[in-house]
Amino acid sequence: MTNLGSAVLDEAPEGTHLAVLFGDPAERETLLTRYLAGAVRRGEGAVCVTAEAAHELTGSVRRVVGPTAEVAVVPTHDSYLRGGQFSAQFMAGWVADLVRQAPSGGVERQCIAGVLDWCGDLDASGFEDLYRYESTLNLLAPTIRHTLACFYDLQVLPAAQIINVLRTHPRVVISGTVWDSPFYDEEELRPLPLPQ
Amino acid sequence: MVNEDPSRFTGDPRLTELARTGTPPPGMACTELHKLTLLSMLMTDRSESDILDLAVATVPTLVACTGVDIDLDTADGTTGPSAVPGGYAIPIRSLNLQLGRLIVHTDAALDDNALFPVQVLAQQLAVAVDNARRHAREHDQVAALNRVLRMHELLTAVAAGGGLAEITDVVAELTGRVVALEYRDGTIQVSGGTWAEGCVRSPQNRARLVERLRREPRSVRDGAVLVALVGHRSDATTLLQIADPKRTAGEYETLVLEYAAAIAAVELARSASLAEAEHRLRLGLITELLLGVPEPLARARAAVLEVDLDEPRRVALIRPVPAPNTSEGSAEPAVLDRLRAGVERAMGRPAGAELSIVEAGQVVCLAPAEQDWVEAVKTLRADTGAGPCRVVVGSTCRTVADYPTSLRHARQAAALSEHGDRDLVCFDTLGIHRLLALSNDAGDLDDYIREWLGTLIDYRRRTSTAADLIGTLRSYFHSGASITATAAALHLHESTVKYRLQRIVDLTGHDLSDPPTRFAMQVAIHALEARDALGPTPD
Repeated sequence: MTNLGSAVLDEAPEGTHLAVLFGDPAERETLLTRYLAGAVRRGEGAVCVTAEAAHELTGSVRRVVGPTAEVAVVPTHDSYLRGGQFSAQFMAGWVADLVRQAPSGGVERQCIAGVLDWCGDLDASGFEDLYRYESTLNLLAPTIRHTLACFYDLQVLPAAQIINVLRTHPRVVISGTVWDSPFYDEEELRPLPLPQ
Repeated sequence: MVNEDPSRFTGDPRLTELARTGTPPPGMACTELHKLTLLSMLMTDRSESDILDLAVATVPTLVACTGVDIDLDTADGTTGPSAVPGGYAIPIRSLNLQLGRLIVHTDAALDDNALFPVQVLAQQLAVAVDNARRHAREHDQVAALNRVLRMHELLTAVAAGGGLAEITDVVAELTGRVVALEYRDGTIQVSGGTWAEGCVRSPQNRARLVERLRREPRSVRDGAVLVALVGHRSDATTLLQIADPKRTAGEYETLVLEYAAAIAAVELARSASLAEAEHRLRLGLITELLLGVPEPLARARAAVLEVDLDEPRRVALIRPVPAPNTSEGSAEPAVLDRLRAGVERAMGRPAGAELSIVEAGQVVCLAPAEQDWVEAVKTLRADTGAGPCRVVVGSTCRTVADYPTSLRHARQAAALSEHGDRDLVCFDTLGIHRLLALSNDAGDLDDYIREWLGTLIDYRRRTSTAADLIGTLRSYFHSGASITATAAALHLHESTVKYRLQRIVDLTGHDLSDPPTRFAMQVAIHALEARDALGPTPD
């Protein structure tokens, strides 16, 4: 078994795509803050796509790292749910743009977090689209220096979909511990063409 | 993962080996073990349905299959996989527990090794579901305990400072149902909605229910209502009720009802005690005012009762009129109580602000001076609770010292009008009798009567068979000094009347044709009537 321990979340190896499963808001804040604070400490960019208020998230990171910490917070409705619904095509392009434009902003490497606490509203085809997007990130991640962490709320994510999340992420964080996902199988993935 | 010897309940030695060494048996890859490890973590603290969904989603990652079902209705006692049409059934079992079967649909034959990971998953599933059920039971127990604690908290708070309305409000809040407190007279106080018409009982049904409740140790169901007696079973008649049209109320609702009924009983007793104390204070104040207590004492008591003694009042005496064909006599206390309540209603005074007492077979009331008694008498006549009555109103009290006088005047007015048929007599409208009643010196009045009528009075005493000269003289004056009218009133011949009038002149020596003399004699006749009616004037 491949229990990678909790340090992976702090170190966030380059080119990693991982799913972080959390059970309640307190666990989400702990894991998210830890992930983003690690990036700030290392002098890397910290980006979070979330519905949470920017000042609250930044405040949480500053309490850990210091008052000058900055987190780039992107509202969910401007990214995942732009146009009112999720689109794998749009979102894959959006992430690709984000990582492509990072160097021009003077950032060599970023820890990017996406909070998918909205996915409980998806229907079967919506989940299908979501996993196509996640599969695409698996193609993207090895080609970049950035770390991509998808935060899933176990209170929202239907139980029947949990295994699918584990199948589409090479690494998963469960109860704060990072594991290589035994359910992950590259051959099963049906990614979109990698955005150019 | 497995602390007990798994073979004790699975009968599979591979599990024993797995538990002992942590090494997967032949045919089971480390990846499967890894999956099951993560799955066991994900099954923690989830609902039963989530756990089942997780298991169903995991099976295809462990074994090649076309579908997965969970059958929680069949527990056939098997300990290992068994072939079923279209697939295999794996028992979902753990220690002392068999929850059902996990059905793996497959087109291909699977050997025991291929099914072993599913068998492990089924065992994890059994433990997780059992834990989830225990957790759910604990959760329910905690929720029930919290409900009881909240009930205790709210009812204790209302017991410490709330009235009966607050108690019914709390019961409605705690049970989410319509609640009614029904008093002996059928008055209903409702909280939480509208009390359904169908829940209102006839007096007979209510009486039967009260009798039943007195026999029962706890609350009872009466149709669509849960009902408890408020107070001691020996004499309580007030009912606390929860509407339960769908008959879904359980032990909790019963507990709330009975707890609240116990608190309501205390509150009811306290309210009654307070009302009784205030009533006694009021009785004391009224009695003291009528007796003429020193003003500072009366004002002190009035201040406690928030009665303004500077407000002008009159003493009114209200006496029930017996129904036709019934004997005269003192009315029953219940009749007088109802009459007193009716008088207060007629004056529009709210409960707790009464200023009346029952005394000597009548209601004595301190009424506002400006009270419209004509209207009040009409109201009383129409009030079936009060019954027919006769009202006598005394003079106005402008100071504390005036109350005894007003009472005396009311009594005098009552005495003077005793034989009349009017149902309302006011002292202020008594005319000459009022003037005579105002005299405080009985001796002066007697002297005056004796001066003008003494001879006739003595004549009546001496000769009991003699003609009624005083009666003749009274009729003569009442008829405006008309001999014809007097004769008609007394059923006498005019010559008899003339004879009697001459006899009066002869005996008294007073000339009835002389206007001043005639007026003086007429006043004397009124004074005699007043003295006869009133008896000795009080000191």
